Amino acid sequence: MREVWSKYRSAWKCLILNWRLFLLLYAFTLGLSFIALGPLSNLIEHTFGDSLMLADMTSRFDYTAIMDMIHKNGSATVLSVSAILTFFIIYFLWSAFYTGGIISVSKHKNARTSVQVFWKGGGEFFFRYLRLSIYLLLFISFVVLILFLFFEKDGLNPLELESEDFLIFRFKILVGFLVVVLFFAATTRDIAKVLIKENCHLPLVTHPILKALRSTFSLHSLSLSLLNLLFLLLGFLLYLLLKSIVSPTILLIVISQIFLLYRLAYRFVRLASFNYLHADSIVAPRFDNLSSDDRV
Amino acid sequence: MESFIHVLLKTILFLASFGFTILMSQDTLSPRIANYKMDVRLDIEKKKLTGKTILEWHNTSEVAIDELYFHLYYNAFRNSESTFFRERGVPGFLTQNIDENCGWGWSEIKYIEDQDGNDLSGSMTYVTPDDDNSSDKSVLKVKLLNPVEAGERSTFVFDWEAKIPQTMPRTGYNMDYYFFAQWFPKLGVLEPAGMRYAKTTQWNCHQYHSSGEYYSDFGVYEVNLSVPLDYEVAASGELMGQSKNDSMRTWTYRADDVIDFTWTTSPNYIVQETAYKDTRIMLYSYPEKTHFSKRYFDAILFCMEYLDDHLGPYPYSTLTIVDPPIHGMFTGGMEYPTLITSLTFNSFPAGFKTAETLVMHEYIHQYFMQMVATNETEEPWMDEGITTYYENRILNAFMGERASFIDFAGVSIGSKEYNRAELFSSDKVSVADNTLRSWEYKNGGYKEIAYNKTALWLQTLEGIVGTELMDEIMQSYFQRWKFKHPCRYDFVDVVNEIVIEHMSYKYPDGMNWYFDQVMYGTDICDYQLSEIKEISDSEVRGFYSDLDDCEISSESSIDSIHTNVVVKRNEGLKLPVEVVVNFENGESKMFYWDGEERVHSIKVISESKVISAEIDPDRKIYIDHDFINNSLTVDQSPRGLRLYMARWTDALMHGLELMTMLI
Repeated sequence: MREVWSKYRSAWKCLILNWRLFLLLYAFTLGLSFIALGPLSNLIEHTFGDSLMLADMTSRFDYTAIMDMIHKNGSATVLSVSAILTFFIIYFLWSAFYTGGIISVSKHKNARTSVQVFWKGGGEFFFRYLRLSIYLLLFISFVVLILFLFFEKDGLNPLELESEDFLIFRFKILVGFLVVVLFFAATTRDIAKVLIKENCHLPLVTHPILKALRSTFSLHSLSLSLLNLLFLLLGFLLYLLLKSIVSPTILLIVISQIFLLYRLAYRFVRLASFNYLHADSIVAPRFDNLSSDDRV
Repeated sequence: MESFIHVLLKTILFLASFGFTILMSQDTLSPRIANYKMDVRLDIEKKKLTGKTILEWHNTSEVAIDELYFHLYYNAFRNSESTFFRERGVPGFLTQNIDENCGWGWSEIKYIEDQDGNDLSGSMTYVTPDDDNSSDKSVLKVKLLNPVEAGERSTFVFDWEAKIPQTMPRTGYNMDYYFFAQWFPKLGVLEPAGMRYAKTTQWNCHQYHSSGEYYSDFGVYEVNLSVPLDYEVAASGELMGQSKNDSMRTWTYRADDVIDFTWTTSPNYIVQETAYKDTRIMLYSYPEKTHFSKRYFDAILFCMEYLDDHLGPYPYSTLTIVDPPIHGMFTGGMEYPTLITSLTFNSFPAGFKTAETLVMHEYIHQYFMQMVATNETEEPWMDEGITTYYENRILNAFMGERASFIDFAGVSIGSKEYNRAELFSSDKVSVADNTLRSWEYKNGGYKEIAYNKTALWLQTLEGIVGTELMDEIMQSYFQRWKFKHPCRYDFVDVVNEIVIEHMSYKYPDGMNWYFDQVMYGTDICDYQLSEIKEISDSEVRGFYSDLDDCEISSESSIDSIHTNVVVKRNEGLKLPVEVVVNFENGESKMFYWDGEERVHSIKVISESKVISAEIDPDRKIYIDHDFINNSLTVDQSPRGLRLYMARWTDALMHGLELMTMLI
């Protein structure tokens, strides 16, 4: 356990050392959201810009305002929202890209690393991580499909149901099962990401995935995965607590953004800690291995 | 001697009949025109009901009646060509579950005789007063041998049988759940000349349609229901007693001064109770749904007190709430005298206020169409619209204006605003006025017009006359027309009478101008604040008091600011509106506009700059189609917009991060 804790702490240290890179991740997410929301922002400005209704909308969910906007600008609203959805694809690609970057950066323990390392790592492994993400997406879809088929195996016609309670019970069991599967899948995913980087000579990702599968069920891997999750949950609970005691909109947004930063940090730390746990066992990274280009 | 006995017997019969008549008419809530005594037996194997009915009917008209009309509602489920299914269609979700051999339903009178023992069975014919659909057998005409004279009471005895349909809308069986609504041969309403729209005395007995349910006379129901021993029964009225034989238990119910009788039975019911004043409130639900009782009871107690205060007391000794199981969901959300059905789902979060919404809505129907017994087939808005209006009011008072419909995961929607949005989201807003009968909405719009639009124009009427006066109107309407059959003219008359009495200074001729637009018209309402323009000094300069001196208008002074506030009426509906103008120094000034012209200018002279203006700031004109254009600010508020977009940005950033968390 001490080893797991040590890797986890090292990952946080790495994050703090590379805070500029971390801010870059945040800035990219922010920038992308701004661009995605451009059409909707224009629509809202056009619709509400000179209406007193805006004052109400900023402080709470205003169903009447939203519905009146949809009645007024139905197709424009649909287009604006559709535009946002396309940005999810861009962010998906970006997440495949920055995975490589984070792993490359975190390889250099206890050192602040050049942003170039990030870009280089991201570019080098982009397609492999993209493939891994697609495989994972297919795997999750497959699991969800199987679970759904199991969920509805006795039919969902309410007229044929004695009670909905057994469906609710079945749903809870299946969701519980899905969470467990996703936990293991996420652990395998992170190990695979590290192994892909460590086996950069292999063009295919299947070998690292199979290797990762074998390592998933080790005590160290599962403990590290749990530790990461635990800190995410703690952060989430703290966020909920703060949200419940704060009322001004601006403060709520600030708290929410802090939680978002924490979530991005979680991603970074998780990848970095898995990198330390599994890459260390293959090739022990040494600080003096750093080339002068990599240092800043 | 024989003659003496004959005379004695006749005298006893006369006295008994007279006593019955006195009993029926003295100190009763309603006129008790159609009174039923029924013995009914449920056969759960064959899914059949067999019944014997003694109907005592009072001819309240001034003419002799030689024919009776009966509703045989279950014949709506006889085949796919019934008027009910022609209108509704037989959707897959209904048919796929219907057993070919027993899923359909029917109802037949096997034998009928009058009080003299004449067999009338041979004079029964099915009729279709609403359409020429020969496949529809939901109305039966019985020709009498001896007419019932004006003002007389007469008794008819008939044996009948019904095949129970499987899980049809409002009624039927599924598994061991049975719900019987519109289930027995039931007399139509004889409307004497002058009542409602009747020019001459006539029967009002429509076929069973997909929308709109029933219209009946008040009466007393004494019903013996025989069901298997382990089955629990809930029914309209009060349980008078139980008896049992080998395999069946007979439950005796009595319901006074009601327009219908409904019941349900199942071995799975759990009964929970509470009370409001002298009324026993019983909740019948399946074991998995008993935890909803607190929500039901809290809501119903609030609603009963509210209507008690605002309209008048609930006069019955019982109120039964039935929460059907999921396989009986088609019977949920319905109203019958002293018995209502709701519908809840364990899978719904508590923030979905289905339990409260439905139980309140159906309870309000106890007032509007159970006691104020309008014809919901001919004038559906008179019960559904008024009920929806009260539902919005009471739910908002109970759970807050912004969260009375849904309050879940940061999304909160009020009942009133949901009703408005539901109407304006539909393309049926202007499809018809309020005078259509339920089956005449051939291309949709029944719900939008009868429920949503009516609730909106009643809400707007409240805005125009004020809540206090609206309460007086509704209370007077209820008190005047309870246990009678009013039509829309009667409602309008009450409104006019009270408005003229209290607001003659404003509406000397009453509110017909309003009803002409909202009840008889299809126009939409949309007022817009289109422009706020400050007029510079040069624009008010010229020759005013002195023709030798070009000067600033005398109305103006050095310190005063002239502003033109332009308001528009974009649609056809014309209503008086208030316009509030807000000044930079924090003050406000209210202006009134009759709303007649298409464009209207309000000239504002003030010491402080106008920063914004708003039409109908208190949203009294709730029927306005677009609230966004009701206000205008001189300078846009970039801070407000930025803050709003910041919330969107924040939400999207979390969304992006969440969506890619697993990959």
